[in-house]
Amino acid sequence: MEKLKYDKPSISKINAGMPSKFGLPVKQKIISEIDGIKVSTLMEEYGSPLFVISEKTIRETHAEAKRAFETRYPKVQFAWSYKTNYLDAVCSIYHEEGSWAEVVSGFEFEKALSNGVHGSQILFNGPDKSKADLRMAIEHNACIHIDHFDELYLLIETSREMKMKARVAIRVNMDAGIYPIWDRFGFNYENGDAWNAINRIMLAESLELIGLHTHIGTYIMVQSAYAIAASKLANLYMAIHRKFDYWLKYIDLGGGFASKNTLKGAYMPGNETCPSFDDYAEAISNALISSEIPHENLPILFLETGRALIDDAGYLLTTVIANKRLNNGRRSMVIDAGVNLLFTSFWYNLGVYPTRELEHAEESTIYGPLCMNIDVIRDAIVFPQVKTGEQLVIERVGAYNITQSMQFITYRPNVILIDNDGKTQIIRKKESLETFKNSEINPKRN
Amino acid sequence: MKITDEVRISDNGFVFNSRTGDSFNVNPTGLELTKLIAQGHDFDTIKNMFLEKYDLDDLTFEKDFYEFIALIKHHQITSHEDPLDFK
Amino acid sequence: MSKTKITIAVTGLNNTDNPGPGVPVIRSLKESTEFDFRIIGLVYETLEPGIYMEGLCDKIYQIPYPSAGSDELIDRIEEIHLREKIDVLIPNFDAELFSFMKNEDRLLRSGIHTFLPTMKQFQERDKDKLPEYGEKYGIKVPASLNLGSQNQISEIKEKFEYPVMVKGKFYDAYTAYNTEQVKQSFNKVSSKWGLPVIIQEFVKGTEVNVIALGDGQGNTIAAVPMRKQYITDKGKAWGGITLSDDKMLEITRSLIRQTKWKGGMELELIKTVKGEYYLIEINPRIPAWVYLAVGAGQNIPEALVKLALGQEVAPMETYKSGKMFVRYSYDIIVNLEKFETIAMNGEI
Repeated sequence: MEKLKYDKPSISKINAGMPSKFGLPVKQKIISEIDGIKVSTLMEEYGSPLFVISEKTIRETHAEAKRAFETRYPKVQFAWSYKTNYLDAVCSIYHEEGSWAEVVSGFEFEKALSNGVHGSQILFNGPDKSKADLRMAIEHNACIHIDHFDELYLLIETSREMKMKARVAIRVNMDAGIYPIWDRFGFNYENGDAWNAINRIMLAESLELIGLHTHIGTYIMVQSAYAIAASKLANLYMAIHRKFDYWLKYIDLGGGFASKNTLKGAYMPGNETCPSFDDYAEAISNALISSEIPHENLPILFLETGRALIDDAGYLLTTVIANKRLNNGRRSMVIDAGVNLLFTSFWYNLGVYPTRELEHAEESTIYGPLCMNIDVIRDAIVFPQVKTGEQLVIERVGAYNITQSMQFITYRPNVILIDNDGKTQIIRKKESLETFKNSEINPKRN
Repeated sequence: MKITDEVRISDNGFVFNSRTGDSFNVNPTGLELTKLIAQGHDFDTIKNMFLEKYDLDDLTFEKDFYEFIALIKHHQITSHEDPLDFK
Repeated sequence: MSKTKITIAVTGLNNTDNPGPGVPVIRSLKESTEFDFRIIGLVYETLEPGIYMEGLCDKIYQIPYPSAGSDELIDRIEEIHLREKIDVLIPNFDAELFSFMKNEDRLLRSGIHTFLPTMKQFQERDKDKLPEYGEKYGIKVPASLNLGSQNQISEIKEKFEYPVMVKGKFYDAYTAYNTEQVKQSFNKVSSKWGLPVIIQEFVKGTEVNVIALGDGQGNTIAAVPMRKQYITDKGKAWGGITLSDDKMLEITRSLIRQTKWKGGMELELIKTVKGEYYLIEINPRIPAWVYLAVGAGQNIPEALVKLALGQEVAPMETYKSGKMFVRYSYDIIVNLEKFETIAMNGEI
């Protein structure tokens, strides 16, 4: 006699107050392949955990953003936000798509140069620019976005010494109706600091003011905030023209567009509530076009969006190490990817999915493998029963996780790229003992 | 180990514990297991019955069995001796 | 003349001490003289009292919370629709409105009519945008300050006199009499509802409310003002009385005319001793005290159904003032089987 299919026995309490999922058709999303390649094949070849980047998704998302803005505004230039993901292979794709580079440190500046970006197409942001960094930026004719008065004076001093002109913009912070206000970066619009800085720059012979920059925050879910920001920069742009009879070249609205990840504490899933590129583009373009700026003098619109462009293109493949019942009966499982690889798990409810149909979903906690209590990937997620060795996929991890990942107790994994032709290759090798031996020095003792 | 007298098990998988007032939902294998335990069968008997009937290996069954037992114990569906009475 | 038969799906059967409007909406519908309504109750939880009230719903289905994803919710409703042929859906929870507004077209394509505010109408009445809203539509609102961080609490002293109201973006409101209490409330509110935390001027006066229905063209189809006579510790009316107050009606009509409000709404106002009205909140749906409006002569749920079905509805301009409602609680005896059925099958 043929044996019957076995289901793991399960019992769940019917909570008055919590709807029971039984009897309701609950659709379980599964991710069995990425760009047509089986997850199991990828893990077999490259190990677990494994970061996977999809070139196809990068290019498609970029095209989508470009279309949204270029159909609404005459002059648009994207600059790839290096800090979001500065793997050379990733940056190169954006540069191929026509993006400039947006960097926030000397290291990132060097990386952009080494990726073949022309210095004049690097936007140099951030509060930390040393004198050496500024020299490098001036030499390469980069666009230096000044963050504070100390930087402004250091820049005047440096450019004078070099007897060269520095091309600059200022970063402006403002009340765009969203919280928190990022007033720690740049010069404030409302209290007149921004205007003062502009006047000081216009007096400095060694500085050439070419643009205005703002970056109102991160994961901004209301597109109208960008409209407010664009109008305020447009006001400054016109004020500069009126006082100095001079047109700036660009207005840079920075980044901060939300990705489709769901923020912790959000009631609705992020993919339903986040504005689309079209929504952002509509708000920004309208604000600029309907401002006082004459049409023929409209500035180039720079955008430094990072998260919204790359988050969807990154996946982390992981394996179940153990299932565990906690003391209170709650189901939990341990997977082989921890918070050291998933920095964004601190503010997102990351989407974790099985690679095949599984049954008996139950509210569970997903822990990482680090021997630390903070290593929680999902505090509460309705998840089916899995066996050890089950392969899972965490989606939307392309932004920040790789650049902010931390080496801890084990090697950081391979990062692979699935290119447009569906071929896979390693774009950052898994660490090994050698990685550490190369940079460590153990003093000899007698 | 014994299913407490106050527990009522319906054939549709609805389990009601009148001592605590809690109600539960068990899946078909869970229901089968609960009934076998209620009938007083021991682990080895139940294991053999399951291995006979289902496409299943003994270690998987053992793991699942003890996890299930721990859960029904947690939900006070079964009565137990003092866990610190190491017999 | 026989009544037209129509199937209505209604959510919010949680008739607890913080009641959802589902049960009163159904009671209102049952008083219709034109229609014979078949009522499909949609519940999230197994203990929503409406499930156990005899003669209330013809059929009850459990639906997944919108937080599980709008698609799952709408899929489930379409599945129910295949069996029940829903003509009109009346959602009654704030938290589900977003999903239903977003999927209005999809629902309509499968033949389910709704009558909901537009996304713009819904979003512009957000609490943290109240000052802009007041200015735009010419309604007095309490002065307010959006706090993005605890550091800003010191700004309150410069702008307000204590006490002030400390409010969450979506829910929760506390009265604070000093900086310390603001801090406490700030932490409570921000951990639950995020930023900003809204500090609102405490306007002294009587809390009055208007229930209204806009046709989406700027016409006020129904409007009944009410004063809460007794308020529970959850801030809900336990008793109320209809008012004859032309000023409140004028405010309501002007707002509906300008915003072209579509659907049911509740305006929460404070009437000061000087007779000024301050708008403190707009609820974008029918409130739980809707049955009082029916008792006073305006069957708002019935009119909403007609509007949803694309029928002309003449504005209802009269109602009886001095009608009262008194809420009461009532214990129903329930057999375990009924609970078992809804819990196990998701329908009853």
